[in-house]
Amino acid sequence: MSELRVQEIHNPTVQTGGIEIDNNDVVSINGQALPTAGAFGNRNLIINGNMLIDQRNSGSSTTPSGDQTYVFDRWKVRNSNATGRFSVEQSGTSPNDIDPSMLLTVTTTDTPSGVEFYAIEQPIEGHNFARAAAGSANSEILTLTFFVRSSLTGTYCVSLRNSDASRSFVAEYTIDRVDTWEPQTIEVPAITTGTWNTTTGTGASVAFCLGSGPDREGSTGWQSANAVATSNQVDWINSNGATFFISGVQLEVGSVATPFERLSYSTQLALCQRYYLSIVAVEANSRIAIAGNGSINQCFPTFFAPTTMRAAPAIDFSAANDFQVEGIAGGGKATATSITINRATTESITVQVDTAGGTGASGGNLLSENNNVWFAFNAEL
Amino acid sequence: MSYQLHNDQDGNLVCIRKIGTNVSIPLAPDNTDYQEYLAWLAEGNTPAPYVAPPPPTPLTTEQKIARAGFNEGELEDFLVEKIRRRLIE
Repeated sequence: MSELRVQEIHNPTVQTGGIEIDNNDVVSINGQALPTAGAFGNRNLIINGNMLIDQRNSGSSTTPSGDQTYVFDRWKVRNSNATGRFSVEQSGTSPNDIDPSMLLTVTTTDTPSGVEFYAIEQPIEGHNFARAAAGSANSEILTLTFFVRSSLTGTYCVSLRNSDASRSFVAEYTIDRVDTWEPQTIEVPAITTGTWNTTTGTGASVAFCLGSGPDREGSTGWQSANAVATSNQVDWINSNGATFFISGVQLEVGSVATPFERLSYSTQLALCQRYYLSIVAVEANSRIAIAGNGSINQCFPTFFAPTTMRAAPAIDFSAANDFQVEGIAGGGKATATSITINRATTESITVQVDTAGGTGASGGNLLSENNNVWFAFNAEL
Repeated sequence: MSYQLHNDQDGNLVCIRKIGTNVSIPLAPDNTDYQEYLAWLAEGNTPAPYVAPPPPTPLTTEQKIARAGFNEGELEDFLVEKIRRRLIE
């Protein structure tokens, strides 16, 4: 058995790059660290961390008024005041000239009180968070990396909580320069206590705080309490016009921050569609689902989900009269008056479409009456 | 927020409608909208009962012919030919 003890391997004529091994046994190749735990690929527990997919608003600005309203895919706002206080939009302002970012802008100031807090949050499905082995003796260290930029400098907080918020980890980070992208890296120590969902529920939620009432403030590190910030958190939400950009969010097993894992667009979209699926008919008379049965004023078109959804989804749509039933025989059409779930599973969704007129034949296509009408299936956490 | 029950054509409860929206919610324990509904129920609230859609307007003979893919002339020619063959037989 022979052993080679080196800390650096370089090309003899080029002294930069090559392989380096630091005193913690972290191996870097050309300056990029390799993981210290977990697999080499499929490492990011965060989905859509580079803010690329926005099925709901197509990147347009929205001012969510309710708490836990989803904005970009997999990202929801925490707005426990339940009043529209800030806008959210996809921005071309990028930390790396590749990825878009999420831009939040304060439109109406607020001073959070009690348990109120403002944040941008992603709940991670238990099936995915299971690799952290949280709550067990084998619990892993996690590393969170992201890029932020704000018009307001100071101390900000990010938290990781389990689904019943009986365990929370809070870390502070500093934005030093106004309107400048800054990379952040936070190590989350292993947690051997608490209950952590490992199936289709929420395994853990990552929340970037933008203002908190005193009853959601705690200390840094792990605690048996529902905390999202410390008392040092910048009161961003109380500064009219303040901006906050975020992108490149990655949470991975191990103590080393590896480069952001950029997926192909189709892979990332499929990951998002497990939780939310939007079908937009960009042209009038688009056939969006087929029904092989029904009666004179009723039919049951079925949609097939492109990926298995997390749960049987709820449905939503632009308006019932945006859709028509087109009969199989005779070509008669009738405008829909009501659309509801008939049967929903994680793979397919059959809806009941009622029409007022008798011109819609039994069975038939569900088609859009106009362009830009939409159907959505929601299995978010 | 308030809710309304929704039955299928056989009278079985199949989903919950969120009143004032187009959202309908499956009876799926993992669905967070359904979990919110159950929490709303647990607060002592009661959903609105199911209201069946009005019965369909009976089709006219002309509509039935059209649904079968005929126009009246084609149907007339078809029947005349059928009667003629019967008479010959």
